[in-house]
Amino acid sequence: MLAALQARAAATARPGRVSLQLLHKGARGVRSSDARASSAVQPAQPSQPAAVSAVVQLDEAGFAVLPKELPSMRGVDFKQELDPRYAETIEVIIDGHPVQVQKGSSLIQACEQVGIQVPRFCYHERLSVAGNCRMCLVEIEKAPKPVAACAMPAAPGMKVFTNSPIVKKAREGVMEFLLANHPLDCPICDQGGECDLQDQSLFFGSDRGRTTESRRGVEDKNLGPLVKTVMTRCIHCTRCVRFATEVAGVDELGTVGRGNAMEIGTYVERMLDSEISGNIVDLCPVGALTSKPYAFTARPWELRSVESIDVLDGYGSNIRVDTRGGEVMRILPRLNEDINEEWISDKTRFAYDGLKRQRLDTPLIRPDPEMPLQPATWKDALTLVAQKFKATPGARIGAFAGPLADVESMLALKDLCNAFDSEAIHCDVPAGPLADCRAAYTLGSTIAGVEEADAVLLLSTDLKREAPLLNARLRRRVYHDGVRVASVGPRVPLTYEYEHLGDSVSQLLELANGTHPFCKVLAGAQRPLVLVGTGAYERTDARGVAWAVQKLVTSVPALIQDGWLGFGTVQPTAAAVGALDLGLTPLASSAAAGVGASDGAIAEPLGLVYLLGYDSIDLDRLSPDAFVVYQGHHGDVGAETADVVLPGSAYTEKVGTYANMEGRAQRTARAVSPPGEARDDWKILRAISELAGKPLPYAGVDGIRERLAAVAPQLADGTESIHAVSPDIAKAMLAVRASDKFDFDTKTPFASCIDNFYMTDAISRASTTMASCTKAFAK
Amino acid sequence: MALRAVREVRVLLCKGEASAGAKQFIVDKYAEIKKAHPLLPFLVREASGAAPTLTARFAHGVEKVVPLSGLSSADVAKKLSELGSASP
Repeated sequence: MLAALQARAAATARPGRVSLQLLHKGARGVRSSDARASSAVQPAQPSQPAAVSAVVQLDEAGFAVLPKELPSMRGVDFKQELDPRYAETIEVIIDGHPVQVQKGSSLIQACEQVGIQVPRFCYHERLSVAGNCRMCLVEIEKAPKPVAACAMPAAPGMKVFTNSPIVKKAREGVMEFLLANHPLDCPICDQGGECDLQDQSLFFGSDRGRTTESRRGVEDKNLGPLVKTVMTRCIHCTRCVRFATEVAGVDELGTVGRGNAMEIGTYVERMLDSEISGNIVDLCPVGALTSKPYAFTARPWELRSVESIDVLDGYGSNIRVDTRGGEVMRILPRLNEDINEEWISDKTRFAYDGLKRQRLDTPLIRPDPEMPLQPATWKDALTLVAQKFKATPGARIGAFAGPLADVESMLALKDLCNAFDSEAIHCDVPAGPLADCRAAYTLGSTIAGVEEADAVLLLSTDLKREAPLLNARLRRRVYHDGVRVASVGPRVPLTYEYEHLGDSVSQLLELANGTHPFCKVLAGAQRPLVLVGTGAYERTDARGVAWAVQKLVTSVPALIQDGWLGFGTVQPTAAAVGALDLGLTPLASSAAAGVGASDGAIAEPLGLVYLLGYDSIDLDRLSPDAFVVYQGHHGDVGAETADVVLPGSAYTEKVGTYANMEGRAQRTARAVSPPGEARDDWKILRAISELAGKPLPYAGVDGIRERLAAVAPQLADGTESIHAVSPDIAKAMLAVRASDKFDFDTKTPFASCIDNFYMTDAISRASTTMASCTKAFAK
Repeated sequence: MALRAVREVRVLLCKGEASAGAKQFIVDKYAEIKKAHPLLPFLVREASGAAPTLTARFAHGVEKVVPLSGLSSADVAKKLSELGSASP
């Protein structure tokens, strides 16, 4: 920002220009993905004549000379680009430069569009405008006093000054008032080094204070095990209050009292029961709300940041992993408008301490079934596993991939087992409609597309727990546009109003047969959406439910149309879509076993069981003489039952491809090294194939990527693109149903696939933070 | 269409004209194939920019790949039955 101001000052000071033409990329910035372009109905062309290739001129000193007409429209929201209401621009004169800004912008947005950042505390682009911090005061010509830029709409011809003496004086005054009650505890404050108040007081504050009064003291609030509060540091920006009510949908947080006695809190002491409450830590511009687990562990300047992907749920949030000395110190969100915007769920943010506990760091062999596991060398462990592969007939080899497995290792596992003539390669997904068609197990509408739906039916899902950020998007849609949401499933609070149609199969059958009143709503909608939780298929009558879902989906024409695939499965794990894409077979729940081999029922007792991070093995279905190999990173249930343990890497320690619930392939990055002797997962499988005498035809990362491109090109590029399913193919394939006769269990209600949001996989089960959340929140 | 020896079929389609015939084949014949082989995984995957192919996997992980670029629906059916009768 300072650089921009300098450039501006230089531009006005030096009129003599030597024109040196540099083409730059155009003002609109390059979108990280064109994911929605393929499925969006409107062609993604900008509706306003955007400045495409502006020419930057440099003066003698090398400073950029700002053209008289600045290129506008920087940081324009994707939706706004398509919305004709935002196409109109008006001319505003900012700091003497006439610029075009969007009609309806506030002054702070107008300044942002032309690259001037006005200091602020309370204003946040994703929250409503509060206008109470007064830090964004700017001067408007002919206005009697400075006005708050965040709350002032830009009007045509308005002359705005963001850096005049009056503005500087106003900012200094605001800063002095804010600091009058702010404690001088920066050295022991966790926000230190990344504090807006610290930074802005350095730039805009006065060099001395005049206050002699004693500072205000405020009692700290208990907001639960995740958010630490030091309320004397609070500057009452109310960002946390607005986030809680507007985005998270919990009304507990509010303001109490007025003036000097104002406090942020819950009035009656209660914890913030939301799956996305951790975001208020990022929103807090000062150190009033900080992360409890991170308290006093690191300073921002000691950290090394790596941009990565979260794999603890099926959402695929973009994250930043901050590490110090080979240890993950914290996890923060990274901006991705198409997925997580700038939020992440509490599990994503706080489960990282699970990465440091219960880790498998050396190969282990159980010499005798009665004895405990003993440390061994890689050579011994791999040779033993390879021998078992050679000795066991293919029909008795079974492999199971867990919820955190990356695509590369699942591909190697499948190729290895196939080479030994095994077909029993399963993934941790209950058998739904059919794995042949990608539309049957992904979120066809895409995550961002959920906000375009105009009638929503939820089936057997507790969306708030299964995908908290998807739920927040749906909530926004309900509140802004009054979209009707109905649910057949558990009666749970979703933070918005919805019609609860019931929780039994009978309601689903009525919907599938078209006799339910809500069918009219779906039929009348332009873009109806049916979201199915995988809990629907974890039942004894899963095949019947899948049949009914297929029938429902194919009976509403608008559900599958050009540019809109309104049938989505909310996959709760990061491995699910990748596994099904590769052709791993879904595993019927033990209750539904025996209905057909296609559902992955184990026909013959397995002699060799290979668990790739799979911890939900049903020991009753395992024959006692089975040789169990566990490859993974945590000593959980799977490792306990194993005869050989091969230590693998967690998601922060490897480069692995994962596909999220909408089918978007993204890659994690290696932030730290795996502990001890742990190795990359797919390389372990490659080594076994070599020792077993049937080497996989790829040895390096390039090789496996090439193989991935041949098997599943939709996952290979890893550049965050979604390859949408053609509507005609989806329609034809989803219309195929095995039979029409099923026994339904109308007594068992539909349930969510998650019973405890905070503990769903080996990492979050090993986390103490998640354990204290379970204690505090899980019922 | 006998696909006895085949363990898994994978059809990759692109978004363009090259796989129009293959797409038509899926739309017309998928139900029939699934009826004849209800337990055979018959994966249909679309990816923009991919070369349309038909892959059949036999025992011991042996794969046979047939390019489908520009073929008509009838041609694709022929290719599939050729693969079905082929021994690995």
